[in-house]
Amino acid sequence: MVGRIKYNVMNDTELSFLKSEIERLLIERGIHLEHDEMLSDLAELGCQVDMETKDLKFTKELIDKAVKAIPEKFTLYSPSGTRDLDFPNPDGGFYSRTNTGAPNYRDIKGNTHYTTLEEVEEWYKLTNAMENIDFVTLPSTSGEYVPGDAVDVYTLEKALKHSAKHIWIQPYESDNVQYLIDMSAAAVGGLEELQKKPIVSFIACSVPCMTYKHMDAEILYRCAKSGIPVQPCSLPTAGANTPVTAQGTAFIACAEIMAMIVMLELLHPGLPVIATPLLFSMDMMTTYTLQSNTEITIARLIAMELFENGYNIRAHSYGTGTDSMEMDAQNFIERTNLTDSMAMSAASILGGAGQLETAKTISPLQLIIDNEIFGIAQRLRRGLDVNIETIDSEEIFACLDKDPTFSYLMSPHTNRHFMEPHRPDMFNRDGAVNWETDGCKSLTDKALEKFHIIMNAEDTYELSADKMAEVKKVLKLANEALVK
Amino acid sequence: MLPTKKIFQKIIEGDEVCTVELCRECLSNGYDAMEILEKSMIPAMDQCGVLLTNRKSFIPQVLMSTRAMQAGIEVLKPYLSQQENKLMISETVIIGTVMGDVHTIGKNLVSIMLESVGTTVIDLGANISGKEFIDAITKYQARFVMMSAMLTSAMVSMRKIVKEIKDHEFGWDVVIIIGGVMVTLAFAKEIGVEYAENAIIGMEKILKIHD
Ligand code: B12
Repeated sequence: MVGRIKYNVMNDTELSFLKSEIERLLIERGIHLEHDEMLSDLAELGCQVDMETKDLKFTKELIDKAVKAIPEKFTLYSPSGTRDLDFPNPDGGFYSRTNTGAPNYRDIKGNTHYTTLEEVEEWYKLTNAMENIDFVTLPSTSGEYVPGDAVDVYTLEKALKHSAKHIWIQPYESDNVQYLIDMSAAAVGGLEELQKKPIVSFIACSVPCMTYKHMDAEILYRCAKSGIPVQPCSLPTAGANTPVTAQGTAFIACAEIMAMIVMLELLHPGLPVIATPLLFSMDMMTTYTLQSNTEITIARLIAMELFENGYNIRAHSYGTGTDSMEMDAQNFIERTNLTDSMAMSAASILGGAGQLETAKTISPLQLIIDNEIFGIAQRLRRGLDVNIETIDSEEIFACLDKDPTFSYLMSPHTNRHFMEPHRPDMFNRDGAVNWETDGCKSLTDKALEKFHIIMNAEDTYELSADKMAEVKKVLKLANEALVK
Repeated sequence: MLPTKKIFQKIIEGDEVCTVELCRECLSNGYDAMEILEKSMIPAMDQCGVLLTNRKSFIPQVLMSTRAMQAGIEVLKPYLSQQENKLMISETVIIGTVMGDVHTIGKNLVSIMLESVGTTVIDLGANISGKEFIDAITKYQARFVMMSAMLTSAMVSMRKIVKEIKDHEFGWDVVIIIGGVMVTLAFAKEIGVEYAENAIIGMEKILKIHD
């Protein structure tokens, strides 16, 4: 059976307690939403709205109605058509994605600098070739290389041109949102086509506690109006803007996301949504934001369980990443610890591939290694069937091994199963002599080799010239309107 | 243990109630207010600073200590001479996250740290324009401005805002200190301002320049 290994971090009482506290928060305290149009639409739909203070409260009936409207099945489409993602994952596995928003790029020589547009192109060439990476995000370029007011728009142009895989968009300013939608629509021949086959989905972030700035409200509103899937996020920092306990932080993040999901489903019943709590914590000694604190990892699992098991809503969080600056031992301990924990949670999506330094830096070499780690984690989640064939009891009961000519190597059972064990592409599986003869290569050396092989090969995907011309037209309009 | 030593100890422990009580006790036993300040409070805060810098204590502990010290100072104030009280007048710092950026956690942390050592902080919030900074500097006659930027895109507006403040004639010198995850020393140098890597260093910078 596939997708069988999943562990629960809450018991039933805890799960229903968390659900009821979240709903109570949405009903009794409500949210602060900085978007007049959206507030009045939601008031018409039954929410209790104070237009003056911009505060909004939900009712239990509205929450239930919204949860009911969430589609049980939906697809995030890929521009190439070769990597469409069906939810729930038919194999019971998880999907994975790259890191979003990191401003810095650590190139293969180890130099770290703001990401250039050429590096964005390099990134998509790599992600196209990564078999265990299912969709992509926008690496963040900077005001040094593209107009500062439109970094998201310029980066999206590259994504649409090069990525064979679904694109998750993180906007930077309110005014940019509509252009990002229009650009995506241009890449598929119009908004109607985009609604039918969304090749993009959006990020909207709450600001803890329970506040939605205009930009994020605008993302929710425009996506609801245009029928484009949203993966609403909350990025709380435990101890800084949410309770210091990881559980308290998970509680607020989940409530904030729940509010976004309810609003989206009220505005557009049936819109595909994926709950995305991205939890952080503040180190109480150094004051820096951390991604890999152990309790926060457990809190991510709590959040995954709440949405997936508690509400049957697909859920997504960091599945890899580190607080280390380097690709050192701390990095690999933190990321595999997180990946394996998340792989065995109820999560539908594991994010963050390629990231270092608490989501501030991306590295092509780390991406190539994360591809490997996700492969192992996917295998872990699939688990093992235990039955008469897999335990091979018949051969043992038949005492085949007592025959002096018997060898497991030659047994029919081996013949049926020897291809099954997962073999990470770049791991050393050889003896010392061969390893030395081959140049004593480390995993990073092999990742570098793989990098060159991919970069020297033809790219597997590029958006057609006519569609690209349409995208460019929108880019031009965006540039005129946004760049001050 | 000497009462002044006890006050030192209670401040380190962050015990506001005991600090206040001990300050009152000392005063009624004839201790000089300035002596209490110099022998207990300032050394206690120095010690807290050392513990924090050496990663030997947690931020909430230090904040409790500074709160205890502030409460003690309130008890001492009426007993300090005019001259001595003048020394206690706090610096006003204007702080905000620059236009185009809504990140506030780092900025809030800087504010809390500064307030904890008695600085008056005028927090303008996030998404702040050059004009808003200039108006606040003028209104509060502030010598210090602290700015935060978390986005590379917001660094463009930081550069612009710094120029606007520098071009403005206030009639006094204004020190600008910048920070935030994407801001670097090199960038600060390039735009001609001070840089602090984190809230603790930011607070120390203000205290140092104020001295
Ligand atoms: C929490 C968070 C948010 C929260 C902010 C909530 C809030 N109330 O502030 C929310 C969800 C709202 C948010 C929004 C966005 N975010 Co954000 N966010 C973060 C995150 C995870 C942590 C930042 C943080 O608060 N840290 C905690 C504090 C304590 O640390 P700090 O700010 O670094 O502060 C320290 C120092 O920098 C310094 N400091 C800071 N300011 C100052 C000022 C002075 C004067 C001094 C002396 C020192 C100083 O002192 C502090 C330590 O003591 C970072 C990732 C990261 N690793 O940092 C991304 C991050 C900064 N965000 C990012 C992005 C892209 C965004 C968005 C554009 C994305 C989106 N669509 O939602 C929007 C911003 C929109 C806008 N126009 O502003 C990117 C930035 C990339 C880039 N190119 O610049 C990052 C790196 C994450 C990522 N990979 O995407 N974000």
